[in-house]
Amino acid sequence: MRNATAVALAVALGAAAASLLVPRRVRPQVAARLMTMFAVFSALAAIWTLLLVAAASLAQLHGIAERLSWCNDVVSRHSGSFAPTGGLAMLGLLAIAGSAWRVRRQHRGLRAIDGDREIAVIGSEVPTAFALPGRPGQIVVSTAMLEALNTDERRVLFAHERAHLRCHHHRYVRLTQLAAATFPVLDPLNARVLLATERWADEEAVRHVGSRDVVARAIARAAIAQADAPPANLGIASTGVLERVESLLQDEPRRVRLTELGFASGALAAGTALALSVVLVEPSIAAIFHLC
Amino acid sequence: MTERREMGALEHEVLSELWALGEPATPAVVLDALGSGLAYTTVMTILTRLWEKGLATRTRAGRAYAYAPAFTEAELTARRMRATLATASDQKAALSRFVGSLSAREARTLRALLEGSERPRTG
Repeated sequence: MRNATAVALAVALGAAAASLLVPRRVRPQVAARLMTMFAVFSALAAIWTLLLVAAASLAQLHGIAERLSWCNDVVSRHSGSFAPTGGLAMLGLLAIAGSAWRVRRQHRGLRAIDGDREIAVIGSEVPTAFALPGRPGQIVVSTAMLEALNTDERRVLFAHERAHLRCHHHRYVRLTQLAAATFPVLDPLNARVLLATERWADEEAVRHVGSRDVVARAIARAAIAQADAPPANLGIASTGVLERVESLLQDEPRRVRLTELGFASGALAAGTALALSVVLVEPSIAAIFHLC
Repeated sequence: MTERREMGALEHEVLSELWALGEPATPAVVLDALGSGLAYTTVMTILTRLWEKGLATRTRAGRAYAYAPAFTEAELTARRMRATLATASDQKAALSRFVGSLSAREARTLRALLEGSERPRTG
């Protein structure tokens, strides 16, 4: 059990570190997947760590360990008292449940406009465009946004939003949000995964219209139109628009095979270690490996 | 199943193209704009389907029909729109906006960039 807890904690911290270390030169479609995978493993490992710590404390109470036939290793001696770490772990688990529930709730209330229209163009002076995930999902664009762009740029807009829906980008963003709600260390990942999915959709749009310049211009034009629309729409924090445009003005991102492979094996190792940590606790399985 | 899904994707693409073109277009024009090696009859079928679904309107243009994308019913939208936009402006709602907001510095940079790319280069 102590081994299991140590492994789980190592996965939680290691995967979190790895997720934040994925370099920017990794192609966005790979980076989004890697970061999401690390985030999910890290969050699951964090939950598992807390569960193990809580269980170890509980087991010291009324000999619960024997009844559940956990490894002898689980608790060395029944002290009959409840370790304070167990209480902290339970509080942590409650906090996780709370924040995960809040994230879930935020995702409700996003419903398609005007029935099952695939593209809803709304008469509005506020330039805006976004994709609503779902089956089959919907692209919402305001008339002001369409007017701000020329034909080619509108083509970019639709190709970009279609890519979001087709590649299920909301899944990466949501999984990372859930993971970060579970394990706050992962919070900086939210913005990175969001940006990676935007870059991913930008590259898909390039494939569709066949010009990096046109895509860069469409994004710049749309962002300016949005900033110029009343009320003043200038934000304080960067949302990565400039970075997207700059990336488009450079060459297509190349495959960095070794780096990608390295991080992918890291993710595989994290997943395996997490599974091993679960196995370590279950005596019937652990016995096979003579771990008990 | 796959064919049906591909059909859905194509409808989506044709509908976006109608919006991108910004004026009523005949199947030939749409086919030309898509430029993806589709058959004329496929494009015609898709446009008819969009029209049947109420996603596009059509008017006679010589021997063919010219198709235009249909607007969302404004009345129904106003209320829902406000609710959706309220959620949409919330970054955490995991909504894929085409572009996020800009800082003042970013806005300056992008403006300069757009002007630079449009002015014919001299010297």
